[in-house]
Amino acid sequence: MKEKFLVLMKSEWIKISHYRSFQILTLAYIVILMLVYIFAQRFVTNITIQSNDTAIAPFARLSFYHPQSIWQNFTYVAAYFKIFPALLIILLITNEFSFFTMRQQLISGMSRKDFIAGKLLVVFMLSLGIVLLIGVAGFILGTIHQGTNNISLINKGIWFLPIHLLELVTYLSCAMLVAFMLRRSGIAIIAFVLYSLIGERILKFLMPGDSGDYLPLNAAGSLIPLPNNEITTLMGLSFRNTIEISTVATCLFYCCLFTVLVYLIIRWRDA
Amino acid sequence: MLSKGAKLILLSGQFLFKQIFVISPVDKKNGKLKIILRMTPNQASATINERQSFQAEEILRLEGLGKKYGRILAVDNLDLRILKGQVYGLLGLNGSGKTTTLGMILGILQPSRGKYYWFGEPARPTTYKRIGSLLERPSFYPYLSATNNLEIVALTRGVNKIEVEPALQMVDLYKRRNHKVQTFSYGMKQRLALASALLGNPEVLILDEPTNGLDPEGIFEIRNIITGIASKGTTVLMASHLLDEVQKTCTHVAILQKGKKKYSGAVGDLLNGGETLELSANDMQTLERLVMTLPEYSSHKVSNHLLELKMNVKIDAAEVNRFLHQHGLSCSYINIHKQSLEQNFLEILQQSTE
Repeated sequence: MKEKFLVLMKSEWIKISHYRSFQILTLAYIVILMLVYIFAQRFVTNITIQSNDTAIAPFARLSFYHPQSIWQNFTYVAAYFKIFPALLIILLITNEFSFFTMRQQLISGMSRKDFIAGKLLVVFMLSLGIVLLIGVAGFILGTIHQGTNNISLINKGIWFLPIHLLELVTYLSCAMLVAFMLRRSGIAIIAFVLYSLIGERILKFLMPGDSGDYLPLNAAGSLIPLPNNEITTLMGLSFRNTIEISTVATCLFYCCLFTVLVYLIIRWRDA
Repeated sequence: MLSKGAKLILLSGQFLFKQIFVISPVDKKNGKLKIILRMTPNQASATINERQSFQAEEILRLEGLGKKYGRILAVDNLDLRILKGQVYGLLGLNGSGKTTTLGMILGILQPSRGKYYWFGEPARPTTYKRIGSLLERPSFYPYLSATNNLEIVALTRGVNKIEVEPALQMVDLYKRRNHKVQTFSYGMKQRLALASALLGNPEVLILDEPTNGLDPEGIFEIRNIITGIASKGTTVLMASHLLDEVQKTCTHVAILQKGKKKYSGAVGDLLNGGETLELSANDMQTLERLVMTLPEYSSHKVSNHLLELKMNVKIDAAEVNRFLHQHGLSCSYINIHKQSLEQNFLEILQQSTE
């Protein structure tokens, strides 16, 4: 089992580490996310100043890096950029079809289960890498801006990191399913972007009651709620700052469902 | 279960007569045992060994294999048996079902009907680690180097990474090992695909149109590599529509037409079957009359003062000449003409069309 895991890891690493699109998209993702994290405080400060111009009583200065909210802030913001790794997953999977390398691996003795396991491994490792990146950025920027020791950053808010991992895995699993279904990179990217931007909203609108909340990307997106701050409180908005178990369970269910669907697709379809 | 009496007969047979008896089940009518086979232990052992080796030598068996794409029947009820060490050619025109057949036995296409057995058992993913294959076109990650691509194949097949370099050397790509595959010509990609198929010294090699798109020099090189591999005892299954290639490389051949098998057997048999004797004499009418009286005469035709004779057995030119001489006719020209595989192939296809 361990040996198989290592073989899949090595094999997938060779494929992605030399892939130019992977290097560009990863670099773009890291740069954009870090710039957002670095300049987010300026944005928040501007909002506070503008609000103070019209407010009856001035707001206290909001901090993007406050130890109590840093993890929620960081993961919430990062969620807006998850399309980057999703595109990467779609490209990596559709490449296997356009280069006919999936069939080559199957005739070289790789089982269909192992092939999917390899792709799931990429999904998980990529998500884990992103979460680790956010974690490191949070510790560094949190320490710099708060001037406190790192210990204060380790609070219950740190749970948002593994929850963001689940969000990413769910989102990327959905991208994986679309890639396996459509096989062509262009079509798969368009379909996934359209579904995530419009498709699910239409479905949610058409579905009765709150059942639309349980759609996959919607469930993944609602894992980390909008962070509360003084302004939202003053506007009478109060978002939950806890993690909902039912949403976590929904996401886990979708991860399993997407994996099974992918297996069924490549089990019964000619490679 | 044998009764005590039957066991006693068997034991006494072994000790007293040094023979083994194979006994039929008790006859219900008279209740007696019947000896249906008697042999010495050595003979029995030889028979068992022969049976075992016979079974062990079977590499691939296809039973009624079929594939439908919608209404189109790509492969129809195909039976085939390939034994160890054979270099088997799958011949057929484009669209005859060769690649589909290979796709099914390699597990990437789902058969619509029938079964296939590798090494005597239904295929599992691990089975394919014993088989090297090149299907349809060379399939590699274009942005990776030749070495990286082969490393992925080595990892999948469970082959040591050390074997990558010798494989590249064998197909003369060692100097280009660190170059991206997207910079390779088609011939180089084809050679890389062959190196990938040969990684880990597979027991069976499956090649689909291995010389497709190659220049004459490339064809010669690939053919030499395949012949070299086959001479080491590796079983080879090769699909091709290049008859000359099959004739030069294969020991056995199966001819497919519109997904159906039209012929299977040794290449030599196919070529001998198409043997004709070309004869010429001053008196062509007597010659024609005499050849029709030959004991194993099959057919003949005359054109341009040349008689082409076909017989039901392997032609012995000396024997025919002697026969004609005994009947007072001297031949001015006599020659055995072997039909090429191409002629036989076309004949078989034509027969089945008729």
